[in-house]
Amino acid sequence: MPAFAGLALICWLQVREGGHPQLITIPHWGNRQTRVCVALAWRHTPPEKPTAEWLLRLAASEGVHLDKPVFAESLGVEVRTWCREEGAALILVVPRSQLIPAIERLYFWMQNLPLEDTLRWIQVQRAYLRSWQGFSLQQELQLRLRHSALRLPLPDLNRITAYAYRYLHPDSLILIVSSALSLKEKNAILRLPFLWTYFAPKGSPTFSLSTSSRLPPDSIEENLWAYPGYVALYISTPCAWDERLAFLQAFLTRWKTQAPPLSWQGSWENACQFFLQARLDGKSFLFLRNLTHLSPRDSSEVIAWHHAYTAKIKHLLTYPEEYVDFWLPVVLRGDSLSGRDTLLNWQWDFQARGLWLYNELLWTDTLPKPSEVKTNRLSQAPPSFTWRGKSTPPLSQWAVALQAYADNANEKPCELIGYYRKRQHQRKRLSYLHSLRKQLIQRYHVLPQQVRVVLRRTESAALEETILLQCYE
Amino acid sequence: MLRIVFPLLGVAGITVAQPPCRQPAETPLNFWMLYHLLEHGYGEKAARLIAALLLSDSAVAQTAYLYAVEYQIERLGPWFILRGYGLPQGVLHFLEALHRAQKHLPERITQAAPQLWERTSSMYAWAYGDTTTTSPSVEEILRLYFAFWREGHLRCILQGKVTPELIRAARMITGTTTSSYEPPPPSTSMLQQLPLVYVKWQLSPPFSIDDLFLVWYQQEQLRRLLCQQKQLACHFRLVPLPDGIEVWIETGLSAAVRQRIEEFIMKPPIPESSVYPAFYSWLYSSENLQLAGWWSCLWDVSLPSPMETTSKSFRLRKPKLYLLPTAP
Repeated sequence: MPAFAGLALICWLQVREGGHPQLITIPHWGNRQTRVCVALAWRHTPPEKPTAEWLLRLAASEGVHLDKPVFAESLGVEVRTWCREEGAALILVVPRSQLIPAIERLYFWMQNLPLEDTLRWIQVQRAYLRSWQGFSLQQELQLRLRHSALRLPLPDLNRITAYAYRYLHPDSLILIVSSALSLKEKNAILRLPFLWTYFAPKGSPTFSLSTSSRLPPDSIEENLWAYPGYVALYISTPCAWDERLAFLQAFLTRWKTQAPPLSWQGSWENACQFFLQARLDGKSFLFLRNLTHLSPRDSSEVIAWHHAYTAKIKHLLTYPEEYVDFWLPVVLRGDSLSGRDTLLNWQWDFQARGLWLYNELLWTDTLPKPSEVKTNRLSQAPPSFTWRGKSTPPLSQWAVALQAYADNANEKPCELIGYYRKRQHQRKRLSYLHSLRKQLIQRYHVLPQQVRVVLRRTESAALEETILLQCYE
Repeated sequence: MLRIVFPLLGVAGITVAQPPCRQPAETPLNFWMLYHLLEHGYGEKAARLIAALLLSDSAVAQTAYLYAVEYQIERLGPWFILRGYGLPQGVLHFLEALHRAQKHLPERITQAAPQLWERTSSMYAWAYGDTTTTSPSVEEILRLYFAFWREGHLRCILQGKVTPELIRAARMITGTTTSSYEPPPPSTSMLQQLPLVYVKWQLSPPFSIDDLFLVWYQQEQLRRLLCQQKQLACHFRLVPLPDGIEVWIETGLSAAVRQRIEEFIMKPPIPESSVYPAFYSWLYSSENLQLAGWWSCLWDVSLPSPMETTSKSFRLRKPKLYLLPTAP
């Protein structure tokens, strides 16, 4: 009888376990000794994206798992999420030495999503609604450009449970580690249990829109014009991942050279798109309006683009956690992540659609009036300074005056005049004056022909420690 | 004979003279940072103009363009910072070009158009009382250029794989650093007019990594209290100082939150060793890489090695705390 019970228990556990997340490592990426990025990802169908966003909110929200802040702190973990049409992921960035405990924790959180506790679920909903009370122009523009609803519909727990049942099966999960792993580490990860805990929901899943009427009215139109000089663009990029990066670097480098300054932020969207938000002025507006094709104009641009691409690739390989939206979809699609060192083709068509706000252009594009250009000039009088004592003279002040003197196109050199009384002091005094001249030239960039040393004999003891800087009309 | 002596002298010069502070980084890129104290917290406009003129030098701009060297100008508390990163070869050429551009700078300052001087003042400038509405004169800018860049006040941090050539290039810009650090405190009356909370943790040297951990933990707890628990919209900026750290939090405060902060200050949390991995993680995250490097250079402490993440015992001491909540 006990043997039969044990057998039944093993069978039940096996049915519950179901499988294990597939492990993918990216061995040629960052050999960092300190931190490593781990993502538990899964694929889903595009319409499921809003539900996935809710599920990730539930998984990542600090208020949901009471143990999360404590464990995150003790493991040094940063929790991030990623959600697109092709899939979603819960991401941890952890110290290298804490990799296995962190994955264990990640599994635990994913197995114990609070899909039944209504109080916690209400907490997440409230946090979401509160986040919409502040205004986020960036978020709203992005949603409008995607033609998606401005706010997430509030699903009921049934729908999320159905999503978890359908997509969070161990067999369909992928664990991605953005680094090389030793065999020991791989074995340890594969031995970690992932229990299948989700059951099919009883009722049919529905969306609930009951709370949306309580949200504040949409005020985007008036707010758009409160933030002028702004563009939100979907840019079509090449689809190969390294070429996408090269394209973006070439585009940004061209922008920086043709219409500086550039302040921007962006994210990688879909397979062949980049979402860019940038500040616009007159020059950058014209630059974007006239850009139809991206190809290097000369050899120096090829070199600049190549260096920009190389630097970006090296940054990406070292800090993959900063570019999760870039490489996770590539892994989910099953494509290779081995990039090329050099690209041969640097020519692309440029296509973008988006939203322009350009009422700032009227005043940023005006040129300065020529009469204003030279109003604040240096004073005209030739400098003349006297210094007494053994301490170092105020050389910076002298250098400012000498610069002013040179700026007024005076070619006559200024004189650094010193005095000596006894013959045996002559050489020492002369070398001191020369050391001052050397400092003026080397430290303060005074031109050598602009200052010369003059040593004079005197009978007065008072004059012996005096140094004069004298310029002439 | 000379063939042997001259290289030896060169090597001796590099090792004996004060080099830029070096920090290892786990990337094939080189990060660089040039920074100096502003004179009593004043002179931000002039410092910005000087940096803009240096970076707009044609050779510097061309080098940055060709080698894709990223750079940015920033003011943090009493500091003025010029920093960036790039491929090793690019950073070397960039620093050399910056050195050459310095030689022509006084001339360029006198010829710069006055429009360039009109820069918006930052919150720091206001807090330090640097609120002059008029532009600085050319003489003033020249004087500040000599004071900031040429008289031994400029310092440099290099991160990544630092070669002797790179050290030499950095030393040509900074010269021999002579000044000691004495950052001025911001003006209390000005601070209270701003919608921000200013907190300073002060410790006396010598410093250790334990002090760094303690101060980091306390500011992290304050951040959590304000930005997460109290749901305030926070812009939280850390400014390392030679004798501690200051935190600038741009946010408005209600009376209740202010009371909560005062309670926090009266009874600051003491970290346990179980939190150490979180500190370690913060130190090595890409966004804090330069900040942590700068902090450890100022305090002259070495960052923990990857093996020190799990077990560690601490010798903690109590820092002095200064808090300036804003007017409601």
